[in-house]
Amino acid sequence: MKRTYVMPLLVLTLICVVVSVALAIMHSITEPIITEAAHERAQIAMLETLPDATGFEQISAYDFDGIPVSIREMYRTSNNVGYIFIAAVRGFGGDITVIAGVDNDGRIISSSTLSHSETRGIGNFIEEEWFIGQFIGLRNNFEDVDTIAGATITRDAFIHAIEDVLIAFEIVRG
Amino acid sequence: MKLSKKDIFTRGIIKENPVLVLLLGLCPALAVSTQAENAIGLGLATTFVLLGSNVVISILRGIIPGRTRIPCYIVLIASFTVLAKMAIEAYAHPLYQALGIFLPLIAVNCIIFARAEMFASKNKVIDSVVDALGTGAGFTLALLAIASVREILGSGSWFGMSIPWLEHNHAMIFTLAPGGFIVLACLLAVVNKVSKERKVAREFNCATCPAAEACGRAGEC
Repeated sequence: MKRTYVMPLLVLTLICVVVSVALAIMHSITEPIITEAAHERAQIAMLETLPDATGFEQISAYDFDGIPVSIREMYRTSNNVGYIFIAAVRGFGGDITVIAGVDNDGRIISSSTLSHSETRGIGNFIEEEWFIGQFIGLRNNFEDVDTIAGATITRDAFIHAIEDVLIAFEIVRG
Repeated sequence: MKLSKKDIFTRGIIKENPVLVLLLGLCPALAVSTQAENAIGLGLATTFVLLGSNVVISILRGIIPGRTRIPCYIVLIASFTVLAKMAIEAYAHPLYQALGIFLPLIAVNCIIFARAEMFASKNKVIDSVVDALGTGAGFTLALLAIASVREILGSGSWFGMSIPWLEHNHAMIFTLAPGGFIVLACLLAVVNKVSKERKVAREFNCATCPAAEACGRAGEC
């Protein structure tokens, strides 16, 4: 009785306790490194998008009405040279995360793809300069952006992200 | 039958190669094998988890009760996977991004579970270490073989180094899922052709089954 019911429970419980302690220790070691690295990558990406900015302050989407759901993060710059938006839209193979910088007139200064899972060789033009460069200076009218044969969904998703960024910009600027 | 350390090690690579002979862990093997670098990364991460789980399960083999062994193994394997995930996320972020969902999915990789159930729970610690290293090496090499073919033909590069001519004339299908299946099938055909033992396996009975040694009911059915 004791051996068949108590022992298995005891052993499994002990294993779980020991394992939890080990994981907690590992977490306390790696967590600061992971958070700091993520913060650093975000800072680098934002500085590449708006090189003139001296600092970034996050804006909460809860303070405004009607921010598109695709907008994940919004920042204003300390020296008021523009805004940064990070948007995640659905592409062909999953979410496409786009970072875009907008100047005070509502023109795209630059944009780039932070992460995506589009088909390699077909949809990864959204990382490339010839495609994302087309958005520089635009504030609406994306019909002139090149149509990509065989990758319409990816192209449209990227444009959708940029459109959402500009909608958010109008709301945030007030 | 007692196997020498060398036999245990090479068995995991050749005779019982997890991917090419036992056909275990095919999902990560196909998904991550688009680039040689990722294949090595996933192979090493899997080997680490395999090593950890084999060692601990072998040490605890006298303590873990038969009835609750499955939950015990799952907890241990999952913990080693999370350890590996945290370490890779902190110290090798590009690899972490490349492996994506397949890193946490090592926890449900049947190769690791198979080694725990078939080997580590019945053998000494040293033998289990050798078994983990052998099986891990077999998994890594199989992945590397598939990934090399797919990267060379599909992307015209190998470990990121571009190959002249192929660079501009690559067949994209090899980087996609169908290409993975084609390459895997061709490799399996080659392995079956080369290994003479496998010809006997056409008969399919316990004597030709690579898992017979660990199967509790070998010869009964």
